[in-house]
Amino acid sequence: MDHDPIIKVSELNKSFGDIHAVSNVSFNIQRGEIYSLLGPNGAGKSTTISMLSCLLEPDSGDALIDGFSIKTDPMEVKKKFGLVPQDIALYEDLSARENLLFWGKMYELRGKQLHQECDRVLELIGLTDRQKGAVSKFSGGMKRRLNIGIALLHTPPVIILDEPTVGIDPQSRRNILDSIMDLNRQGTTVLYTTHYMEEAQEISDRIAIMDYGEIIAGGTHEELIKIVGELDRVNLTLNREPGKDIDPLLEQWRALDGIKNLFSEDGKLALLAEDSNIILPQLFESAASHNIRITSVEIQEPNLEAVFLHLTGRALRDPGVNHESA
Amino acid sequence: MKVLDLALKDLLRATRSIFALMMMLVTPLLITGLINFAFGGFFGEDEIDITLTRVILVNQDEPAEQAAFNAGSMLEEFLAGEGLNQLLEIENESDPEAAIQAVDNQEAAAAIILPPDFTTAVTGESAKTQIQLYKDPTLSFGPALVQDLLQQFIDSFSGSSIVLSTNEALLKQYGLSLAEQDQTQLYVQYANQAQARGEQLENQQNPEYVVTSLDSTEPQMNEGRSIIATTMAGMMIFFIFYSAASVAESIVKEDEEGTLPRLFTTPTSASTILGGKFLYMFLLMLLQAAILILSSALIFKISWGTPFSTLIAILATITAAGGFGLFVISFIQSTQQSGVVFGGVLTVSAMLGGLFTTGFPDLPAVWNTISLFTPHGWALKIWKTTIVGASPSEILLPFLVCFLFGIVLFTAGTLRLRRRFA
Repeated sequence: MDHDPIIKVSELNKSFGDIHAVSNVSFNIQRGEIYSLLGPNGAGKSTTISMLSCLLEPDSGDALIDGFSIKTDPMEVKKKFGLVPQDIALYEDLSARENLLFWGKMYELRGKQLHQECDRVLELIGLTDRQKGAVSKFSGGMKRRLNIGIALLHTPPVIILDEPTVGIDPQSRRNILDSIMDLNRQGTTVLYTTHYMEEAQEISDRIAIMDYGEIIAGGTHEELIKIVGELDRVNLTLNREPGKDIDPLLEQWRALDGIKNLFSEDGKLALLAEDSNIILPQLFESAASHNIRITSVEIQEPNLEAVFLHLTGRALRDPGVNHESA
Repeated sequence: MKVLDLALKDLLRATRSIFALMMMLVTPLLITGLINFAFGGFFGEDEIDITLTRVILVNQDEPAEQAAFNAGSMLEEFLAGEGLNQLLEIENESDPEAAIQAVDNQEAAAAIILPPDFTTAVTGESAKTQIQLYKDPTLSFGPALVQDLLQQFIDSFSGSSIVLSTNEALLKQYGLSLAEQDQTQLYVQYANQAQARGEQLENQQNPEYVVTSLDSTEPQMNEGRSIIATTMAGMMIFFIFYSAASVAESIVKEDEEGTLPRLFTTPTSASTILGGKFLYMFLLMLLQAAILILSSALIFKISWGTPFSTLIAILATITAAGGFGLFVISFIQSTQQSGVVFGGVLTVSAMLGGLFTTGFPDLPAVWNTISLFTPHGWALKIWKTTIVGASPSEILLPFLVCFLFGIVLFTAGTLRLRRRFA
């Protein structure tokens, strides 16, 4: 991996009316990297991707892909990447091969080269045997693979994937993640957006965490974990009488030394603690004094979820959850 | 090149849709076939015969003994003449009540009752008289034709009276006068010429019921075939407009399916992408028109006019339909709203344009005027003119109007779509 960034993003801004979808987003991606934009729905990931793929014009700022500006050279930029959109975008009444041939022509492939690239991609996505079948008859996983294959036809130096694993089964997700890592091993730079922490953690060389249109943290997995230090995430389930107010208990817990963050999610509680071994007995004791039982305890090593919780006071998965900061 | 790739992709997709093929090609032929069948035609026959319109003539005309001609007999001869005997079956009856009863019993389409002073009245020698035309209200074509012919006959005599009066006045200025025999000869001569001219005009202006002479050396469609031709033209125009709107709708559909945004991420300009859609629209409508014209010529033996005029008519229709479809679809936000366009706008505009009433010759004049406010009406006008073998110069005006409609609506629709997808 050299140190010449293939993607340089400088202070991108985009608003829709009064909503600032993307605010001063800047990052660089090195050649051969897998770079992930991680954040909840509505964080601005897709808007950023849309600007990089020249679908949206930024209000201000610019980005260079392989040296070409998205503002001044959009046609050159479009030759440098292949986009895998979040939703499947295929002509379902055409066959897999007809789809690939058409999209290949849009990427300016012709004649023998076009057919060779189609064969290569069909082999890569494992659809050689089904190439003449109508896409409408394909399973969801097969459509996803073809959706990705189209972006690979012109062997671009950059692949941009916008949440490609949303709504698919675990096996197809596994195949897609493996394919992305294979592509990366062959030298393709990957820009990946997801709201699944595990995916970002597994495949990425570097990760940018986005929230409310801003990048709130960025770096390698290890660098990001350091933000929360050695904090443990402790998940608790309480058994309480219906209608019983737990606020006095939560107030007491917030006052304890060693608790950095406390929030409730789906009826469960989560907190960040400096040392779970010290804090847990205190939690049990105070719960008992309020006639509330702790029925389950889960201790997690520091991860990106904890980082997001630490930085925003909210869970990564659902931006709308009820949260309470310590 | 990419424009062609985009257009060919959409054409390929169109061939995969059974529904689209049915709507584009089968339905117009099917509807025309049903109408053909209703008129007694059969696909494999060389000729289509219209059921003769049975007319009962009660000729009570009693010209004066010294009268040089008998207008009642002339009318009888006129209606039973060589051209009209393919359309009308004339039966003489002496009792007016019996004639009216026959129409009431639907044994005849109309009854003409000539008064005893018919000849005297048409020569202007007596006060006004009244000819009674009793029509079956459930029929449209036959009685309307009889009324038209009767009016034409009467008009010819009115014209003769004017000619005679003018002649008399002119000769009087020079102190001259015409002998009574010469006056009668001039009167009858003018009336005959006027009737002949009337037939000629019927051929040109009302192709719904073309009256042709069997002596004609030009191969022409018979009357039934002419009705089928205009019906087919109406159906073809309607479904070409439908296809144009479908193509325009496919832009919105592709946007919803994500393939349009994906196209915008490829190194393909927005102009090329829209250009591809327009080329697809043009090719699809051209193919549709060509297939419908050729197949209807084979199945219904329709003569569409000279190849050049037909080509001009196709281009006019395609331009008008393309512009109209694009303009109308530019107002919808999603394909869920397109039902309103297909079910409402397209159908109502086609109705106003007269596409569904091609077989009704006696529509009010205001109806024809309204139709000229729609591109459909002008498209129908150009086809009606082309079908009767008009020369390219005669179809120039409807062509220009269709073209203008198309260009204006196309520009407006394109601007709206560009603004939306920019």
